[in-house]
Amino acid sequence: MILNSSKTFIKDLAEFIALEYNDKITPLETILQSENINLFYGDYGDTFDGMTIYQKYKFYVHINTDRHNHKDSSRARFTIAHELGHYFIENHRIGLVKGYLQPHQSKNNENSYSKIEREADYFASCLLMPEERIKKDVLRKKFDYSLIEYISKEYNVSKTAAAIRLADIGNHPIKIVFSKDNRIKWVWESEDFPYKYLLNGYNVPENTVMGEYFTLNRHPSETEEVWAIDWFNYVKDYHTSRKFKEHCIVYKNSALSIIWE
Amino acid sequence: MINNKKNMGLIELFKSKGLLFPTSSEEIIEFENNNNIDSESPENWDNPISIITQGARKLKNLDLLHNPHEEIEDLKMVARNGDNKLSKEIIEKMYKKHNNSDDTK
Repeated sequence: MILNSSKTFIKDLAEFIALEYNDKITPLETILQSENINLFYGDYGDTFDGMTIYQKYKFYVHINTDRHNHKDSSRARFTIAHELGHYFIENHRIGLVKGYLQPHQSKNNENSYSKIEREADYFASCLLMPEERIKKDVLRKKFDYSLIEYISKEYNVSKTAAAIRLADIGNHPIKIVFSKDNRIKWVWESEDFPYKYLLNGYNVPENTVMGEYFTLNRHPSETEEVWAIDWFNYVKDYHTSRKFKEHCIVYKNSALSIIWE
Repeated sequence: MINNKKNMGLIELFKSKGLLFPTSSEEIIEFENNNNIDSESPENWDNPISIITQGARKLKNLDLLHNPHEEIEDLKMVARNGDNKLSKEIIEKMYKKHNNSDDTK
């Protein structure tokens, strides 16, 4: 969890940097150059997405193409923005310089490690999609899946990153569920989404679009309607006929659903 | 006024123990006892005419960027979605890229 105080600080910092440029697609390489940070793409096997190294008083960022971080791809851009977070967030940079931040997380510092990674992810999200610009883009637009596609294209970010940002600052409450092998791995939701708890905990509920992909191998192609009681727990009796929309994107053994009313 | 007098007394006391910037030769001795002096004095430090007449000189051995511990330092880095299998070969591969990029500048 990121503390609200550091969240505000990270957001202000990232957005200040992004808004210095007029480009909607944040010019990451220009930022790297202006900070004298060298960027390298390389094939490093299945080891990491991106890595920041401090050596001889200089920062270097390595991007692993073996993990689909190809130049200018949305994935690589998010990884670079994440690494820039480690550089720009003061605590991270000091940790790097002093050698406190190591690539191998130990059992003892898993929590703090995950905290810095979350902070860098949040920095990346704000750097690539500043609130001011996103709010202008979604103003008076009705939410549906095409809005996520639009943000994803407009800012060259993945649909997952766009959906998460819209859940945080968009104009409509949404819930995002990511699962692998029929098990829910993570959930992200807008603060005002009406249902917090999922029906079966970590198991994907069967009667949902995502559930049908895993159990019936049915490939979804468009937004579908689902009942609230099929996805969520603690649905009041008088809300049993409450309907939501679900757009599920699938890839091999993974699925990402965006749910909204 | 009384406070100022007290402060002056404290300042003199600290200076005499070498704890503040020294202004007399006794204070310098105390100061140097507390602070390790590694630098060498210039040969002509007590001959101002010689210093003035030698004109501008290039500073030698002022290697502020050199870190004597860098050879024994651990690699300092953070990885996004990193695992525990970062081999020596990968680290060397990265270092090689750093060196090549520094050489080309």
